[in-house]
Amino acid sequence: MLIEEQVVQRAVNGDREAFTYIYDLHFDKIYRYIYVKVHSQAEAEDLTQDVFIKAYEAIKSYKWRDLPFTAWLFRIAHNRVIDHVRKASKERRAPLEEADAISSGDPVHMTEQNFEIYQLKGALEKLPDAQREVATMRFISELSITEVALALGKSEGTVKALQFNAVASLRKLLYGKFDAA
Amino acid sequence: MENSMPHKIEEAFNDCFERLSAGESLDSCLKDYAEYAVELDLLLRTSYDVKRRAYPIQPRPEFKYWAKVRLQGVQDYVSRQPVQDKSAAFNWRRTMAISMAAMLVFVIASSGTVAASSESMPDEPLYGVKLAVEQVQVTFAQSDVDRAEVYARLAEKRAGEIVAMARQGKTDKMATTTTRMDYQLAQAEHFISKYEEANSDTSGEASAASTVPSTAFSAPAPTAVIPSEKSAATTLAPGGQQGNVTLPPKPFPPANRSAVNINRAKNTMNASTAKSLAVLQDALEKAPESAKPALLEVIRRTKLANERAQQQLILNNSRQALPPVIKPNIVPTIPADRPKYIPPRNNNLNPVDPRPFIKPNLQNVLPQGGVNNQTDSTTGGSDDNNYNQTNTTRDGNSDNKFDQALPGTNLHLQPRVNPIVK
Repeated sequence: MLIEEQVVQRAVNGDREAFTYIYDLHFDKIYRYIYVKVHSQAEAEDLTQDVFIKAYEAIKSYKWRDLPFTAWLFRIAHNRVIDHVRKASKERRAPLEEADAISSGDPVHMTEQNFEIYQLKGALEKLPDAQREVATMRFISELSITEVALALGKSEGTVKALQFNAVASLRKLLYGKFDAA
Repeated sequence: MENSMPHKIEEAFNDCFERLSAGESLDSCLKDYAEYAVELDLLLRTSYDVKRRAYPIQPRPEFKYWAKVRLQGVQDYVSRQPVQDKSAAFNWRRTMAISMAAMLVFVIASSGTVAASSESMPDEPLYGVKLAVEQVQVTFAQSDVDRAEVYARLAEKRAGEIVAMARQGKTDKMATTTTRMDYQLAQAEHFISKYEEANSDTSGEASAASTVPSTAFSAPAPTAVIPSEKSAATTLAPGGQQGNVTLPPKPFPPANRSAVNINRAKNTMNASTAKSLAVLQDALEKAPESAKPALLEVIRRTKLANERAQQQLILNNSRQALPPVIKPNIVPTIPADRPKYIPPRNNNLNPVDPRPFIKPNLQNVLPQGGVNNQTDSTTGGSDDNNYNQTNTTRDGNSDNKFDQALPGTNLHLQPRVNPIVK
C-alpha cells in the first residue's frame, strides 16, 4: 500500500512515468467494471479511455488522505458510467450485445465463455443498482470491502449486506431452477 | 438472536470469501461456520462462479495499446501548454477561496478556538481546527516558494506531535501523523521544484552574475543563517571583502531574487528536517518499547527526506557555479530566389486562414442552365468535400484535360486533385 501511495504521490506531482504505472495497474480492472455495465464493447472501450483521461486531468487535485486511489478511480468510473447510461437511456439504447471475450483459440470454448458472460451481464442487469455496484466492484474488479465502501460512500457493514444479497440474487438468476430441484 | 442472525451470515460470507481468496480451502472455512455451512457453500460457489465467468473479460490488446498512445498524446499536449502566471492573472477562484478562508478564520478566531487549538495534539478534539488553520496558512502563502517554507515548518510541527504520541505509546496516531508529515515534506519539495522550473530560464544567468557567494547557502542547515537581501548587499562586497564603506542597499534584480528565494526555501526545509531528526532521535531513547519500531520508521523516512533536500541543495550550488549560457543571435537570411507563396484558392480548406468561407450564390450570378447540378459540388449543398470532387470549377466550366470523355466511351477521368496544390 505504501508503495502505491508513493507512486500516486509522484503522479500527483506530475511524474508521467508514475501515472503510466498506475494506468497499467488499473486498466484491466476498470475495463472489466465498465464492460459488464454497458451494452457493447465499443462503449466499454470509449468509457475506459475517458476514465483515465479524466483521472489524468484531475490527479493534481487528488489527496490520498481523502480517499485511497483505487476508490477514487472507481468513483470516476462509476460517475462516468452513470452519465453515459443516463444519456443513452434518452436515446434509443442498443440491445445487450453478445460478449466478446479474449480469444482462447478454441472456438467451442470461446462460444461457451461468451455465452456465460452474456448470461452474467443479463443477471447483473436485473439486480437493484446498489447490489449491482457492489457485486461488480467486489467480484469482477476484485476491490476490497473498504475500497468498495469508500468508492460508493457507504459503510462497510452496508456493503457486506449488499454483497450478501447480491450473491443470493445472482444464485437465483443464474441457476434458480437447479436450486429449486 | 434472530435479529443478529442475518448480520452474522453476512459477516461469515465476507470472511470466507476473503479467506478463500487468500488460498484457504472451502471446507476449512465452512467448519468455522457450521451453522451456516449449507447456505454459505452455495453462495461462495456462486461468487466464485461469477469471478470465473468474468475472468475472460479483458480489453483487446490493440485497444489497450492505442488507448495508451492516446493518453500519452494528452500528456504531451498538457505538458506543451504554457504555464500561466498565476500571480499576475486575476484568478477569481483563488480570490474567492482566500476571502472565504479569511472569513472562516475571523469567525473561528473570534471564539478563541484557534488559540486553544494551536497546541493541540492528534488525539485531541481541537486537532482538526489546528489542521484547518494550517491549511489557511498554506492558502495565504504568496508564492510557491513561500508555500514550500510553510509546508517545511508544518512538517517540523508534525515531528513534535509524533514524539508526543510516541511517549504515550499511541502508534495509530503516530502512523497517521507520519503520513501527514511525509505529505508535507513532499509538498515542500514539489513547490520548490515548481518554483525552480518556473524561474529556470533566468536563474542560471542571475546566479552567475550574483555577488552572493554560494558558500553562504551551503552551511549545515540547522545553524545556517540566511542573509536577507538587504544584508547580503551591504555586508558582502564583491570578492568577499568587508570594507568600511557602507554600500547603498541595492535590490537584487528579479532573477537573482528568485535564486535567493529558492535557497531560502531549501535552507528552511533542510533546517526543519534536521531539527525533526534531532527531536525524533532524542525521543527514541525515551519512548516505550511498543512505539520504538514506528519511531524508527519515522526516522528512516525523515532521513530520506533530509538526504533529498541536501542533494537538491548541492545540485543547486553546482548549478550556480556554471557560467551563464550565451545564446547565439542568429538572424535567418531569406534567399532572393525563394519561391513566392501562393495562397490557396479555397479558404475552407486552409485551417490557418481565419476568414470565413462565404458560399457564393451562383443562381444570381450565372445564367440559367450554366451550372450542372449533378457535377458541381457548390450547388449540391456539400461544399466541403472537394478532395473527392472532380475538376469542375466553381463556375461550372471544365478547365482541364481530364474532363474530356475517353475516346469511344462515355467514361470521364476523375483524378483526385488536391485543390490547394492546384
